[in-house]
Formats: sequence, structure tokens, C-alpha cells
Amino acid sequence: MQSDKGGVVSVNPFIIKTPEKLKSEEAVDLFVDVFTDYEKINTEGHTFVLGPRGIGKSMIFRYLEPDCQCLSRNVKIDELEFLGIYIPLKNASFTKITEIKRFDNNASQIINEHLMSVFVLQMLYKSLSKRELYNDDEETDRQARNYYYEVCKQILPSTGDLVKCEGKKVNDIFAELEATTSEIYKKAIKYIQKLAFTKDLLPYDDLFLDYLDYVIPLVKALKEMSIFTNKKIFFLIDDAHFLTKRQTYILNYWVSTRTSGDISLKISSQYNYKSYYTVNGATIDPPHDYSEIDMLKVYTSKTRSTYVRRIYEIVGKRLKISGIDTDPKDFFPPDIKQEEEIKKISQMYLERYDQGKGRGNKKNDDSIRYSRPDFIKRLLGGSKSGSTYSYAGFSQLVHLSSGITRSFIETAHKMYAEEEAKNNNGRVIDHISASIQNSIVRDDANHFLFYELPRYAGNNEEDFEDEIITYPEEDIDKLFNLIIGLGGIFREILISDRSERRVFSVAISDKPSKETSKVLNLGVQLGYFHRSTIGKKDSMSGGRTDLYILNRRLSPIWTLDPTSFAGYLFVQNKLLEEAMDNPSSMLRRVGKEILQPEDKEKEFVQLSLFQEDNEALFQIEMGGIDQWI
Amino acid sequence: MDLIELESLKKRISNVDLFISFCSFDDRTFQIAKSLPYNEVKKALIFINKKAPEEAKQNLEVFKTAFIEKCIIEGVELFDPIALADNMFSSIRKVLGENSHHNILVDVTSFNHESLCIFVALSSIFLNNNHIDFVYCNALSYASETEVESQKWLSRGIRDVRTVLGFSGDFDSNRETTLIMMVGYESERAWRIIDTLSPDQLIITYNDSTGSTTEVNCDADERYANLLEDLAVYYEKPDKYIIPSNDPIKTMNELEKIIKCIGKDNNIILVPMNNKLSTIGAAMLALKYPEIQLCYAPATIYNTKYYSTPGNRCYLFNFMKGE
Repeated sequence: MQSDKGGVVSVNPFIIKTPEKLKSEEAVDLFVDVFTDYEKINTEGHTFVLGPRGIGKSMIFRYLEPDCQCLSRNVKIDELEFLGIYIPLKNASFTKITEIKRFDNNASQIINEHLMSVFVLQMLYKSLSKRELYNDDEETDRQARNYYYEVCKQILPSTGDLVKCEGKKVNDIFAELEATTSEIYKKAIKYIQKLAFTKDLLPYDDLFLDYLDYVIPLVKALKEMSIFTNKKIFFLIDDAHFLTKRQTYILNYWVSTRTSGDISLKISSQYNYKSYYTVNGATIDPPHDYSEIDMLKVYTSKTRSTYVRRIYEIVGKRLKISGIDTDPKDFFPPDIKQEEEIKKISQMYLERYDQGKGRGNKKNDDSIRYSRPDFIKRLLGGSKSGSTYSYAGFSQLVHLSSGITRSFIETAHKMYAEEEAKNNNGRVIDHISASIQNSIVRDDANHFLFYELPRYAGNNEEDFEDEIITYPEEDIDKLFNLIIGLGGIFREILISDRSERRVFSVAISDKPSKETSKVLNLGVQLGYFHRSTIGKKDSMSGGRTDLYILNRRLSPIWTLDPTSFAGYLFVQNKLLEEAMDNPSSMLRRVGKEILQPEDKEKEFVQLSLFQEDNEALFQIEMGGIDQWI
Repeated sequence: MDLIELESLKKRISNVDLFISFCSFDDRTFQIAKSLPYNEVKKALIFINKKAPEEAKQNLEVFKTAFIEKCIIEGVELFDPIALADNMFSSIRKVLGENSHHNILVDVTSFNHESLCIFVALSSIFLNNNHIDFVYCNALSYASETEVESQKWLSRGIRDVRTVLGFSGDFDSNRETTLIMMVGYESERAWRIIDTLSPDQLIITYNDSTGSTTEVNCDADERYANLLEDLAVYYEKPDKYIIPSNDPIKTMNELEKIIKCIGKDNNIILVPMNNKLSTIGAAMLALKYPEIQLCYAPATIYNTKYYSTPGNRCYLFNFMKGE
């Protein structure tokens, strides 16, 4: 056994720790307030919090735990408005133990609900077992003992000999309860493990717990303690996409019971949550059963400036914790020469406006719209490679992360490591060179499209209990072609002379075919598109339609301007179908038409702008952001 | 553990009551079967995935030709480990009956890691009164029969991460978790597993050329470096150990040293992703220490065209004696 553990290196400020592993001090230090964007997360009622991996769902849940809340507010638990009980499923053994699939329908439901119920109780007591949450108060200790003896003894007769709690503090009593529930959980797991190689079900000689008869009454009893009276209780169930389909039905059933007055279920998941059916075959539906938050919508809506500000704060905190006293925008400097050139173009547009030659309503409209695209166009000019355009600079990097915090942090981590390897020479790293920033994001874009996307292709077998999702190779190919096709169109528009050249999204002007919907949905699920909505084009009756926004992480592939949000494209379904089948042919044909003067614009490609109020807001926001970046 | 030339296998093997193999999509799957002395094998039980790709179905013909009337084909559900275990066990019982003291030769080359671990468990629990030899055909190289860089891969993506049936271990969510990742050539797949499990501590094991069964050490260093680059976001300095993968007992012993260092306060998850000999070593360790959890993640897609090139050697290992 030889170890080749390397030597000591400085700690990368962008190292990622899973939130459940963070100490309360670390979580509070790193957390950036998001509750103005997601106000339903910490209010009563069941809520699904959806978003791709790395957008910050787990961090929010971790921060809502009592230890973090007490620390950040400098209070004890009795002063909190709510108790957020963090229930991470990522590493819960019941979600991945293979033997559990030995059970048939009824038995499976009973054993799964038992495990889930015991697990959430264990997490509840674990969360309440920290000494620092409480004031020293004998009455609280007495009530905790009562809770233990008088309630648990009746509701959990399976615990056998109760531990004597005389003289114990409230936190120790909850620690005992955690240990008790942990034993019940382990006993059930051991029982399941015995079934590995036998089809015969063995007798189980303990109680099976469930949500309505055990979990809810236990939480109600808890609220009888004076420190918890009238407190809202949130079960923060994190990464629910890890549940099996059966377990998902059970969780949905919990949601359907409408017991949010006792416990509000806050359920985070990626977009591949397995089902919205319950064990009874009914569905759960918003808004009656739950509310839904799609965290990506914050980035793709008018409030996206808060994302820029949030990343600025997160990076600032990380740098500070690592002892690097540098502003984030200085840590990720832009390519100075490039920015000077863009500034010159911008100045030219401002002067043209003063001469009465501007196209926009306001003085800086043209400057914002055209200076960067003009610069890119100039670079693309002869070679069409565009590879000399630099994506360096804090602002561009934030937009390239496309609303996903972890995407920014992971890229920053690679940049820091590269900077350390190339330019360290023993010095403290106080910035990342523009060339390294640019090189890493370009590699990342290529990796994301050309390496990661094909890996999703499978043979679409009917897998073990339909638990496993793969995607037919044909669908992945179509998605790949669609991305290539749309990216190509966006590039053609960027280098055209159209009034709006910064286009990154597409909506369908007629009805999408099943095939188009399937491929676009796949793109959303895998993170290559974000979905938002816009007003329907030429609709007499109003109404809205889906808008598909290309993930900005892909920008470098076509040298697109990632800072743009202004334009979107209305296309007919047949154009997207053509792109899915043969993007090159579609591009050859459509590309010529894009370059035509706008009055000859064809029906199937109609370039639109956001409504004026949105555009105005955009500018206001950018002005606000500029103060930060 | 004996290392012998494939062509010498005929002289070495005798009096086999049951030969067991798994028919897969690459040519390595039938090298052992083709090299066995026909008259010394009484029955041949060949497992094949019911949803196997066309290449595997074609390879099945080689087994039928090699064993003719002695050949028993058993379709199994490779993606349903419970049905797989039941099916493997019942078909073995069907051939051998309740009697023991049979000579069983198992070609482990084309079992996947999960089915192999399950087979080791079944052997240990239900077939322990028999004489069981494992035989493994080495690979000359992996994904090397193409010059096209984009075609040099073994598998892509993972579908999910699950415990291996019979090896779910003693897992306590209150304890910290150490993941021992036995890396082979599938660095991207390994990274996905690590990312999904997000352990508190990560240990990476790999073999160097002295402990390898592969004759050409294809791109191992580069892929390994790629893996580490991806990993670095979560684990600044994962512990790394060189562990031989050419002898199950050596693998087991080296792994045992590592788990003794970890101690009993941590959950231990072991993911065997190196070759099948090292997977046997991992399964034997987990049988000895039932608190260890073995995990497996089926790949989303395998490179059936350029997976491996058969080598010329095989490894023979007596499972019951551990030698």
C-alpha cells in the first residue's frame, strides 16, 4: 500500500462543501440572503423548490436549520419564528438499498413509509439536540422529559426500556430520542438486509410507523412545550429526486394530507422529480396542495440582477474567508485591451445619438445594444473564428454561469487551480489572469456540449422498476442538433446589422409538435435550456407561451455575447424540426435570410424585442448592477 | 493465483462439473470458453442479459459451438439485481441439484461488477461446499482499437447509485462517510459516483503497471489525471493508494489495511471499478467486514464497439482456498 499524497498547497477559496456538512458558523458566513426572491420557502404551506444541481437549494435549507437561525439572529430557539428541520436524502440509506425492492406493493408501501417516518423523526430530534440552541431553563428540561416519557412512551412502544431522563437537559433528551429513532431505523434496515437472497418474507416484530398516526402527533406534542408553542415547523426535505418511485408516491401522499398547519413540507428537487402521484393514485396539484418555486426563473426573469449581486456577495465572502482582500471584480479582471476597444465603440454610439443618428429611444440604448456585438463582429470579420474574443471579467463570468451558483464556483475553482499552477511562484493569488479565465470557460463550454450531452444517451431499457431514466440516443442527437442550429442562428444575428442582435432565446409562434416539445423538455431537464414565458405573438386573446433560453455557459462555442438578455426569436415549429434533423442545412438557408434587410424578413424567423417596459427595466437593472460590478 | 497462457488452459483444466460464464458484447467474453478442453466440461451454464445488444447475441453462438449439447443458456435481468440473483442461483441449483462437492469453474471476465459481487456472495453462502475456481481473461488494452480520440471511451454517464445486493453494510447517517473508489479506466463514471455520494472523505485506489492485468497500459495516467481535476472542486487532496488488481487476495489485504486506518467510526462505502479480479477482492473484504457497503452505478451507455481487446493470458484463482 503506497500513498502518494501530495505536498501542502494553499486552500482554493472556491472549494465546494456540501451544505449538510457545513458547521453552523461556516453556513452562516457563506450564506447570502435569498428570501426576498423565494418568500414561500419560509412561510407556512407545502412548497416544492425546483432547480438544477448547484443552484443553491441545499444551502437555503441548511441555513433554515435552528442552529444557523439562532446564530445569525443571535437568539435562542424559543425566539425563532419557525423550526426548519433539514432532512437530506442524498445519503439516506433507504433511498438506495437494493434489498428494499424485495417487497411487493402493499408490503413495500408499509416498510417504505416506516423508514421515511422514522428517518424524518430522527432528523427532527438530531436538529433539536444541540446544546447551544437553548437557554438554561429547568422548566424546559422538565417539559422535555414529559415529552419523552408521556408522549414517546405511548407512541413509540417499540423502544423497549426507556432511558432515565431525570436530571438531563433538553438537548440531551432530544439526543436520546435521536438515538432511539436511530435504533428503530437500523432495526428496520437490518430486517430488510436479511431478505437479500430469499423470497420468503420474514416476520417483523415491531410497530410500523407512518406519517399521520405517528409523525404528526409527535410534532403536535412537541408544540406543547412552551418553547415551541405556535412555532411553524418545516420539514426541509432535500434532494427528493433521490427517492424511489414508491417513496415519491408516499411523500406526495404526505403533501396531499393537507397537514401543513402542523408540518409544512418544503421539498427540494432537481427537475427529474419522479412523479406527482400519491399512493392512492391521485395527483397532487398546485396551488391547492402545494406551491412551487423554480429557482432558475429568478435568473431568467426581471429580477436577474439579484443573481449578479448574490454571486458578487458569495465570491466576496469566499475571498475574505481565504484571506484574500480583493474585490471580486478585481479578482476576475476583464481583458483590459478588449474593454478599451468596446468602450471606444460605445463612445461612438453615444456621439451618434448626440448627432441625432441614434436608433434607440434613450441615449445609451445603442451603446448597450451594439458596442459589444460590433466588437465581436469585427473580430469574426475575416477568419470567422472569433476565438480571440475574451470572456474574462467578473460580469461575463457571472452571466456565463447562467443562474447556477455552483457553475460559477466550479469554474472559479478551476481558474484558481490553473493560476496557482502557472503563475503562483509563491505569491498570494490576488487575481485570475484574463487568459486563464477565458481558456477555462471556453473549455467548459466545449465539455458541456460535446462531452457531457452525449453521455446521457442510453438504450432506453425498461429498467429496474422503472426507476432509472435514460434518454434514447435519437432524442439526444436531436437536442444536440437543435442547440447547434439555434447557436448558429444566434451567431448570425449577432453579426448582422439588425436593430437587435443580442438574441439568446426562442419561442414558438405556432403550435409545437410532440417531437419538438419532447426535445425542448429534454433540453430543459438536462440544463441546456431554461424555460420562461412571454406574451404570445400576435395573439388576439392575450395569453403566454414558453420561452426557451439557451444556457449561457455555451456562449463561447459561437462567440455569443453572454451579457445580453434583450432579444428573442419567434420561430415556427417547422424551423426547429429542421434544425433537429439537419442544423447545417437549416443554417445555410436561414443564415442568408437573417442577413437580409429587416423589411424582407421571412415569416418563420421573426425577431422581436422585449416590450418597452421590460427593456427600460433592463437598463435600470444594468445600471444598478454596474454599481456592483 | 496462477497466471497462465490461454493456450495452456486446455492442459490445466480437468473434471469440471459446471462451467459458468456471462456472455457479453466484446470478444473477450468467449476467450476462456474457446480455450477449455471440451471433454473435461460436463455442463456449461451461460448467462446473458435478456436485453443484451446484438453483439452479445452474436457472441452467444460461439458458446453454443464450443459446448454444443452441454450448453445451457439462461437469460437474466441484468438491470434488476434481485431477479438476477434469484435467477443465477436457481439455474445453478437446477443444474447441480442440492448436492455439493462439485467442481465449478467460473469465468468472471464478462460479469459486470455488480453481478460478480452478487455471485461471490451466493458462492460464499450457498455453494461453499463446492470447489470453485474463478478464471479471468486479461485485456490486451481498453478502447485502443481506434485512433479516433472521441471513440476512446468505455462507458458514459451513470443511471443511479445503488447498494450491491447482499452488501448494503452498516450505514449510519450520523457518522461520517469514507468512500473508497477503486478506479479503473472509467474516470468519468467514477467521478459521477463520487459526485452523487458526496462522501466526507475520499480515498482513490488504482493499480500501477506492476499490479495490472492489462498488457498495454492504455491512457491510464491521463484519465486518472482528468478524474482528479474534476474531483478537486470537492476534495482538495483525496488520499490515493496504489493497490494491485492482479490478485484478489492481494487486493483484499491492501484494502484491509486501508479500512483499519479508517477505523470503525465512519461509514465505509467501497466502489469496485477496476478489473474483475480486484472486484472479487473487494467482495471478499466486504464478506469479512459486513459493515462495509458496496455500491454500484450502471453506466448509461457502454462503448460496445471499442471496449477491450482480448489478451493472451488468464488468471486462475481458487475461491474457497483463497489462492
